[in-house]
Amino acid sequence: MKHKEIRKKLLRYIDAELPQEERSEIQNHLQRCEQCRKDVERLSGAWNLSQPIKRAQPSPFLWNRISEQLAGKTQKTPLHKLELFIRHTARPALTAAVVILGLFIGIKVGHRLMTAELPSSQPADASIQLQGEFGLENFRVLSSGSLGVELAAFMDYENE
Amino acid sequence: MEESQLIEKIKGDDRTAFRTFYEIYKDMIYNVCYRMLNNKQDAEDATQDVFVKASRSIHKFRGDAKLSTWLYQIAVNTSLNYARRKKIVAWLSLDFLLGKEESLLDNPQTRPDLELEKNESEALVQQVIQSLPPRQRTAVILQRYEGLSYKEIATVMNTSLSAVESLLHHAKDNLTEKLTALLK
Repeated sequence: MKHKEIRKKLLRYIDAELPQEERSEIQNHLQRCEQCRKDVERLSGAWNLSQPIKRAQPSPFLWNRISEQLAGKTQKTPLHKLELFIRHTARPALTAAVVILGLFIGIKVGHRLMTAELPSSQPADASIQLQGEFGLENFRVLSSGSLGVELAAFMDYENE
Repeated sequence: MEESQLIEKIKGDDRTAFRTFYEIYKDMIYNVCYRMLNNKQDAEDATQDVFVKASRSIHKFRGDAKLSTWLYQIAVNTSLNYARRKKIVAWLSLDFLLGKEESLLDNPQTRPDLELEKNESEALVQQVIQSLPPRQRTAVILQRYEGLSYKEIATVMNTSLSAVESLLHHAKDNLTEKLTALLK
């Protein structure tokens, strides 16, 4: 067995729950490995209970609670009461809140989509705005640096 | 009074007999619930549930197993259900969002009872046992603290002997790993 496998089995070794073959293998390993020897010592100290095992006792009033519950007087435990509250009040309230929140979000998103402006497909151009102002929409505007400007300049030159 | 006589009297709705039954088994049930839940108040609530259930279902007890084994079964199932429900209630109360989760050792209510765990090592062992998966934890508690045999554990947990061996095998491997890291 490898060191890592042996380390996993130390508690079962301490409790004598391993087959004889594995016990012998671990005993041999412990003779060589200081780390595992120390771990066995620490584990034994923590794991082995001092005898007799101390028993706790419940509250002396527990019998009263039991006998009242059996007699039909409601003495449900606090966890029962909280469960009933969650089942009959908190859960329906939470469900209603989720539905209302969903409706609110849906209305808001829908409203935004309907009122959003579509982006312009043409860049804003001062010359286009002026064109509109002076009723020159039928005239195509040539942007500076375009081939059309060069061609128009050439044609002007030709006509001179 | 013999066990069979006591059971017959309880089935006949004899309250004095039920009180005797309670006095005989209350420490055993409370200790199992305490080891499973690691909290005094929860252990008392679970113990109350166990005795109420026992009273209402004693007519189903056929006597083919020991009365203590039958009670252990009720105690283990009640404690496991209690722990599960408490987790769900805690989640629904959104305690985790408000940072109300505490470690076992911070809250005096949940800290292992130092009367039972006289030394810190035993408190550490109890804490590590609490970190095991529920079925492994149950098997270890029944073996270590209640001294039940593998066969008795199998009856209490309603499973096979080989399943109990496997549970304890894995539980102790897990415990070894965690304890060796913590004890350094």
